[in-house]
Amino acid sequence: MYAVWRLPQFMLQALKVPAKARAAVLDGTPCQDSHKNEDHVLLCVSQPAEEQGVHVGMRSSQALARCPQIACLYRDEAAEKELQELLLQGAETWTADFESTHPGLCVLDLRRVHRLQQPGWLEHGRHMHQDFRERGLEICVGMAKTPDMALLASHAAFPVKVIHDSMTDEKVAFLELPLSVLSPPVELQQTLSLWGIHTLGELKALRRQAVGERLGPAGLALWDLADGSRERLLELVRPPVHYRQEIELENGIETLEPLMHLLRDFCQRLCTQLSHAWKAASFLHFKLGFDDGASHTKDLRIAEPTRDVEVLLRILETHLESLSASAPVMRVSLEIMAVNPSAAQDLLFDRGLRDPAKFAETLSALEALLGHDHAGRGQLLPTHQPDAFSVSPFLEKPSSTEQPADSTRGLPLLRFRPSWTADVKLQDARPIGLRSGARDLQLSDCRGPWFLSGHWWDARQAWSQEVWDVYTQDGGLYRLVREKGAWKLEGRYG
Amino acid sequence: MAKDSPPFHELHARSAFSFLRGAASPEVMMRQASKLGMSHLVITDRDGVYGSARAHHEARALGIRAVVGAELTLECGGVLPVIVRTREGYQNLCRMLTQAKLAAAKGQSRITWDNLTTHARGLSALSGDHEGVLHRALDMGDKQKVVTLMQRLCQTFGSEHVFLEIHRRRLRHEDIRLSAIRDLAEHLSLPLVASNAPLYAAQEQRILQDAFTCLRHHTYLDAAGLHLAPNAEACLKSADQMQSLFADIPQALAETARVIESVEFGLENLGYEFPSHDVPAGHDQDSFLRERTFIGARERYPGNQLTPKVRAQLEKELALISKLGFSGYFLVVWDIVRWTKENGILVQGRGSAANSAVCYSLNITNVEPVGNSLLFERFLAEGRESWPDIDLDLPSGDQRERVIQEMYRRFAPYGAAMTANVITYRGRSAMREMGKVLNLPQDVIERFTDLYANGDFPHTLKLEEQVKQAGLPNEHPRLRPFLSLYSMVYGLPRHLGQHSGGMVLCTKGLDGIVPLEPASMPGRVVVQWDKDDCEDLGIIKVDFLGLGMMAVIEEAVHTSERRGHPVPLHTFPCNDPACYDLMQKADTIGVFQIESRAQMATLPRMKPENFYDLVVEVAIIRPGPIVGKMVHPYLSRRKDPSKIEYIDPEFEPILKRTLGVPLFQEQMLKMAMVIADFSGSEAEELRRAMSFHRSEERMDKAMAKLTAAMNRKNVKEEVQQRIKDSIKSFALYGFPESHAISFAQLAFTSVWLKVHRPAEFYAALLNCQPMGFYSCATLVRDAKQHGLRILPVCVCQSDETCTVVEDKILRLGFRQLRGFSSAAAQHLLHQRAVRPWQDLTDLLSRCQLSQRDKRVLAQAGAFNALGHHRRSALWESAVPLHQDLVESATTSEASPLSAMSDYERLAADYAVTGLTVGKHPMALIRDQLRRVVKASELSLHKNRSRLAIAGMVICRQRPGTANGHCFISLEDESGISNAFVPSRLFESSRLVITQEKFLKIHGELQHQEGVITVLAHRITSLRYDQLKQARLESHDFR
Repeated sequence: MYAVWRLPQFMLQALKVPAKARAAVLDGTPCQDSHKNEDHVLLCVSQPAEEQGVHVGMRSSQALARCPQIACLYRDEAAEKELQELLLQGAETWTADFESTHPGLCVLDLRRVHRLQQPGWLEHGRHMHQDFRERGLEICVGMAKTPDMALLASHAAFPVKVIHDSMTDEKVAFLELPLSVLSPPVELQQTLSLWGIHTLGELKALRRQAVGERLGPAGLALWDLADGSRERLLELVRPPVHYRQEIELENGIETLEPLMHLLRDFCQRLCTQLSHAWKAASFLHFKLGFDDGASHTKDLRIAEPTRDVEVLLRILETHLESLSASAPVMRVSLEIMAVNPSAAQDLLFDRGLRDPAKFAETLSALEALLGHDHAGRGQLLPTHQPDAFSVSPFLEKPSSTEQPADSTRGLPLLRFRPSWTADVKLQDARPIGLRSGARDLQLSDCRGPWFLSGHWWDARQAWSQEVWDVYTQDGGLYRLVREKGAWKLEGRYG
Repeated sequence: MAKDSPPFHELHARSAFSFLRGAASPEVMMRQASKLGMSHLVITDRDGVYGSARAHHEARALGIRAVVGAELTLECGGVLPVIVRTREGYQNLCRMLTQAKLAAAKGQSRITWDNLTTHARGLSALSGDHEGVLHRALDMGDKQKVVTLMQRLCQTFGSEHVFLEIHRRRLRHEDIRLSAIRDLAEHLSLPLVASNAPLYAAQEQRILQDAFTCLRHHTYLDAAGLHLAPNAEACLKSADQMQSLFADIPQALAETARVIESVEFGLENLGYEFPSHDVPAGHDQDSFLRERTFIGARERYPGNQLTPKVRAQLEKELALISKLGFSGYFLVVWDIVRWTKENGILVQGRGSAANSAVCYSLNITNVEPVGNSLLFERFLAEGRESWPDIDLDLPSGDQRERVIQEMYRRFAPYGAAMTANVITYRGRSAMREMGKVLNLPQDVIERFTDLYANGDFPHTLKLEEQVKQAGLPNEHPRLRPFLSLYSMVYGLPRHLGQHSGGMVLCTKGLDGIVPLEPASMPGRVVVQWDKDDCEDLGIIKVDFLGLGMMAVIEEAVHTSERRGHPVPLHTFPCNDPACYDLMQKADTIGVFQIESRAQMATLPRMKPENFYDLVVEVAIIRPGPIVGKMVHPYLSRRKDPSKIEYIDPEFEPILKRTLGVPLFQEQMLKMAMVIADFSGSEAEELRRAMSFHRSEERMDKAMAKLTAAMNRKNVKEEVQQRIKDSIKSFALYGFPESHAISFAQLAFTSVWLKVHRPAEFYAALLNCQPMGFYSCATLVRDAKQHGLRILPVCVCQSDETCTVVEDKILRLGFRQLRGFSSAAAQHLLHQRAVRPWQDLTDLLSRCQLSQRDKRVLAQAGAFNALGHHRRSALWESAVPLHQDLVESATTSEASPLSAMSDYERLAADYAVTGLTVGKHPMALIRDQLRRVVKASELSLHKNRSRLAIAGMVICRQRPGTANGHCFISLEDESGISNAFVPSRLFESSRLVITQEKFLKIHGELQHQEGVITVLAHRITSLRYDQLKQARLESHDFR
């Protein structure tokens, strides 16, 4: 027996839109393709909106004309991916053999699942439906002896339909199903529509050979799908292998040493698995659960992919040395992200990093000291705003962004972080003296002003600066900036 | 500016005509220059002098000077700004640009060093800004190359005409570059000139320049990064500001004055000469024109019609034409009209040229001006600032192109070119482009486009509200920047197109007058100025305007002749009662000018009885008279002559023919001449000052002159006010009377054809689509209503175009089929001519049509004559042709597909032909519509009764004169019903009205003087789901 799970209105369900809402999903993303003059059309329409005359292929304006309350949403790829994952995970719990050729569609081969026995198929179907309903999702379940028949059954299911060989009348009902349930290619559907073929029954009424002659292999495949009796092999989904170890402890661990013993054991097992698959670890996902319910999670990037247990352990140990917890550790899990071992070497006789493991260890220590996201590679942003930068992880390849031409010229500037607020005395709109904190500085000269401004299109981020270089009588050279009416000393040159 | 400070002139300013490299119009740049106290401003737009004419005109009005210059893109990609010193320099610049533009793809220009060397005389060169050749060379860091480059420039232009440009835009480190340039100047002994190289007039416009930068780099603001300007300093700066910036290099400021002093040239000395004609020996231009005029006059005024009055008029006109040096121009136009007629192409002069007896005698126009008392001064008068042009109406399409190409041939090389049409940022394009730049959601941009269609006048909603309706809430952080950008960009040039027919001519080479460049259309060349710029600079032009109706008339006349029913085109009587009967019933779908909804609503009230009534009808339904509230007074006076009055008794002879209502421009001129003692040219200048694209200042000045003159003549205040009101309102769009007469002639001809040669007329109309007001579907329905039978496309009978089978029967042609290639049609016709088809298989095997072509023919029912219904033909033709001997196993079987239903046939008809010769879509659902009144039955209902109408939307209009109200025309199987939608209802139902193809309108019937309208109270969509795939077309907001 095969079961087909079909998530109707997949895109809307991914966006968690209630079934009763008048909503539709638009092609594309809000700002994608903004330089193409193509109109975005609706890809998926909720039932209540459809009842108002809105249909797939309309533009949002046309939909709003028919149904002013309609919410036109953009597709959310991440949400769709998540929902698809959920569907596949669900399928995994029933059988290892399943296919998913379309998002929101899953064909399960239940023939070798011994715990599922006739005549309980309907009950199993309801169980499957209930599983998803509990997660707030609607599925239709069709079950039959062939995958294609199960697919047809899923389209006739409210919410579950089981078809046995003997149920001829039930199969006849499928003949009324529209062709669109088979998702034919657009051109093929247009041709069939011109022929007046709108249902499976009408297509099946045509001789298979005649259809093949006129519509080619695609037409034949569609005819076979409509017939539903074809035996075929599933395009099986094989879930990715997870390199993961976890343990729930009876007695909590309170010191580093036993925890490191445990982690050594984990690392050894995982590295053995990795070596069998000719893989190396590039990333460690490490999680601790404490007795008081708290948890600690850490992602640790590895400078150079490896399956050396000692290296992995050192990285973990460096991180754990700076960790203190208020309760004993009760759960430990370690997952490794596996990649192919690096085949590249930047230098002829040496690697890019002399000791990548040591480097990663140092980074880990730094991060432990400074806090998450506070250690990394400073990178100037492509903007005229001085000192606008972002921090990217050391081990990520830096993006090759353009730098302002000015950024590399002139004397080095020792930046005051944060910059010092200042009171400035002006004469003819030029600074002649300033006070910052307890310091009174007499200026002997100044250069400027230079004007910089940007991000004017968003009031929350708009900025504008008037910049001066001022020479103090004691020989100092400072950068003085006026922003939003306030003066500040940004740094000292030299 | 301090007295002893060095003067400063900006030598390198760009306007929005640098297309995405400048953010202010030339006019705004000049106004800002004037405001800053500058006496000169050099506009150096990129690769052209596009904005120079406008800058010149504005500068003259402001009392300053616009100096011509341009930024030249060299073959290396670097930019070289040049300034025109002499007329020779200007001609060199134009020729250089012409050669570069014509040698490159559209929108591109690369000037070679050879070209530059040949054309450098009379030009001064600047080293440019960061895109300039010098900066590019400095960026490379090779000092020797920099020196070589400058030495080459000095050799090309002469070292006294090469200047090193320096800038200070308040940026750190720019002095490093400046110091390098100073060193270079010292090394080569070249002068420095200070410039701010402005891209806009004032700092506020920096945001638009940033937006343009994004468009240029195909990105948006958030991602543009360092492409954007670091500050807002690239504006036009005053001498004081520049002095403070360059206090340490005063010689760089002083040098700008030296550059300006060397400039002798201004566009007032363009050197344009009117075109001349090759005249026979013994003649000059004047004498030959005189000879041709009187030869023509004797034909035009046969017998004793050539009265002394006509002779005197001809003499007067010839004297003025000769005095103004126009004789050659008239001869050129006469000759092209003669060529056109000899080649069997219909041609008719229109516009103010029809006021001239000389044009009439030369056969350029068909309106007799003396008998019609037309005012010659509207066409030509001494002392006028600009010259009128002669407009020629030609059949649109290939025939017009033949004439245009003949002009190119005659004036080759570079003697003729089309005038440009400056496409500006308007509602939808401004929204789309600025929306992209701000990265607004795409659906907001699309919805705005849907809501505010082209030509829709959003009087009732502020922009903010429009944007809100499109989905951008008030609190959106980018709403304010969007509104600013939208208002800044609105009206600025976006790109250059070509004018529909305006052609400028010059015997001695137009490329020395204005740069020429290729148009998008192959074989066409355009000048860099639009028609107003050309007019302002005294360049004369001929308008070769394509009129669809001319093509219809030409084809209908030829078809009639072929069928043995010749049409007495220039002689049929203009008092044919059947024609006026048709007009009075407003049965004018398809005819020229009087077919629009507004015209049809006026015809039953106007009830035209003679040709002049038709002239008035053509002229009165125009924005000018409507805004000036002249329509109702005219109609009520027509109904009740006791209401006729003339504003002032002196106007009676002028306004008598229009019942005291000033309708024509000639009347306005005459009124000004009578009431204010204006000369002909003064009156014409007043009219031009009032026209819509002129400045308010110019209008006020002209009106003040009129008021002063009327005050001198003690004209009563009330009369003065009425005169001024009428002048202001209809001068906007008013017709010259002669033009109205020319159009009325075409309108009458089309009515005559509709009445007396309906089959030929409708066939020609269908063949000349797209044109006019209505779609093919409506024309076919109208033809059927006039008793014609329209036969569908048929592979055995159809020609490429629609043909007349019998007096009352038409056959659609293959051209009517969408997606059916012309090559396939030709091949099919060729094969059919060899021998008739035996059956469908025979046709398919002989024609080798593509799957798509076969499907279109089958879908349209074109195979029906071969014994197939549409579906069986689709089935049969879907089998690929087997070139071998193996026959398909199933081709001999009968088609298993059932014939199409009525709905399906209708959908198929609309999909492939856009019309149906069968039942109207509304007829198919009539029995489902309850309490909906057919269009033909509306007249049976009482005035003010409440009812509903429904149908296919064929027209939505929201004219600028209608205060936001909307007019909708719905078509059903019995005719057309019209609805008036008040602005409030329009706003609340905007999306339903603009997006739905079928509507149901509930409202109150208004039945007045034979005009029936439904005042809409409620509008809903009529869900014609069965036909949702039918591609129905309406005439929206056009």
